Amino acid sequence: MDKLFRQWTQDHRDQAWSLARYLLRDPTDAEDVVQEAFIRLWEQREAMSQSRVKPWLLRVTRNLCLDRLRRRRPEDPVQESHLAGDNCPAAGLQRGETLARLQGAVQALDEPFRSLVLLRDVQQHSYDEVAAMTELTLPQVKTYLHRARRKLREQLGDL
Amino acid sequence: MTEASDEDEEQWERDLRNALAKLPLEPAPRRLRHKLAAIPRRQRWHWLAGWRPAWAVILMAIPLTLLVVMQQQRLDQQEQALAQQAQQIDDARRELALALSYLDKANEITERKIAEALENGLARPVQDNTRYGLEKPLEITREYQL
Amino acid sequence: MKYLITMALSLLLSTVAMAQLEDAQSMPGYVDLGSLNAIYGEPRVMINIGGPLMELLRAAARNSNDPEAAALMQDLKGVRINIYNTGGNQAPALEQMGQARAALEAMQWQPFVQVQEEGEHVQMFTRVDGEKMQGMAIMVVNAEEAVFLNILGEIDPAQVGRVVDQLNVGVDVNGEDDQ
Repeated sequence: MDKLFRQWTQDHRDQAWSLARYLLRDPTDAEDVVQEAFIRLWEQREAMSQSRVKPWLLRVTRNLCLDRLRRRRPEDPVQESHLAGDNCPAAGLQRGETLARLQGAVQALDEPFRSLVLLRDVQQHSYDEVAAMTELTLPQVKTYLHRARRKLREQLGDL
Repeated sequence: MTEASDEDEEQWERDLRNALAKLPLEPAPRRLRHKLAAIPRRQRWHWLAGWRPAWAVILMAIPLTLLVVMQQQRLDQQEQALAQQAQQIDDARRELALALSYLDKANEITERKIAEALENGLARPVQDNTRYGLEKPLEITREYQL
Repeated sequence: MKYLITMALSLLLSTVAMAQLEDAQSMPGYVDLGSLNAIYGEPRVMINIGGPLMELLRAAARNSNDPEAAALMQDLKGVRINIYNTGGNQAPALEQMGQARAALEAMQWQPFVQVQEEGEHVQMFTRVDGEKMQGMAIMVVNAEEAVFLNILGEIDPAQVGRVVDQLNVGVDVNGEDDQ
């Protein structure tokens, strides 16, 4: 069981971290949330199956992030640090700017649009997985995604 | 026109999704990786901490229990001592009664003898002025001569 | 007339008796009436009550439902008694009684009963300090037994029966129950 848990950790930690970073921005908060999500996974490990781990874990991570966002008061300082990609070695200045704009636009979306874009378009999970992670129905996922992309278009104009 | 708009829109969405798909995934920092790796080891002992209130109760309960047991032992010993004392008193009462009954008997013998002697004229009463601090003076003289 | 004084009880010598003996010896009402063990063997009855045990008995009497009898016991400090079976051989006991009498008179104890008859000999002495009785010595010798009794403190002999009743113990000294 230890070995399996280690495997799950390796397979899904980056996605959980990435999700938490996008939602919370603050890396310390994101770290706490991801750690908590994996602790919960450890506690539930006996009941977990290989196919359930990823959607379960990312759903828990997202919910923990939203809880934290709700508890955050507007005046609380958020240690914002730039997301990875700004220093992408292959990017030119233009590409770097585009990435930053895109990331900023995604982060500025409200929930559940932000999560949906992150999970479906950025992390490339299936629609069914996204539905499980966000606790929405499949039709809802598709509808909200469409709306989310239109919002992004309104914000970004031409990429 | 509408078709073109729709096409534009679809294209835009495809471009967006392509761009989003290319957003780099930030890997988990090293510190987080270490924390996650330590979870199995730490969580094994974590359940003990969760039982802290229970441990506190148990740790308090042990001396309390010992105290109660010792108290009960003390009470049992006291009860035993009291029972022994009660037995001792009972024995002493019997002995005292026995001893005093001989005094009583000696009295009876004496009184009978005096009565006999007086009746037979073998003795005459002698005034006994001695007081022994008794609450009541002796009614019958205690000295007689044969 | 038979003055058999027999008891059906067999009494144990309590260890407390030794300690009480040491306390009693220091009291003015104490008198050693001698021992006849060498002649008659161990006494049939040997009692020694004093000190804390006597205090317990006095306290029990105070808590009883006969305050007058309790009051009679209040100045009683101790009781010591040896009873020997003489088995018809009174002479040694009488000799002991004579020696005890001489000793008591020398110590200025006051005789207040003396019965000298062939079948019965009774001697009763008291020690008085001013008007306060400090002790009594009673000796009774007959064909069956020799009784040597020392009472420490004060007790009214005429009221002894009441005290015995208060102690609420069935004691038969009239010889109806032979040992």
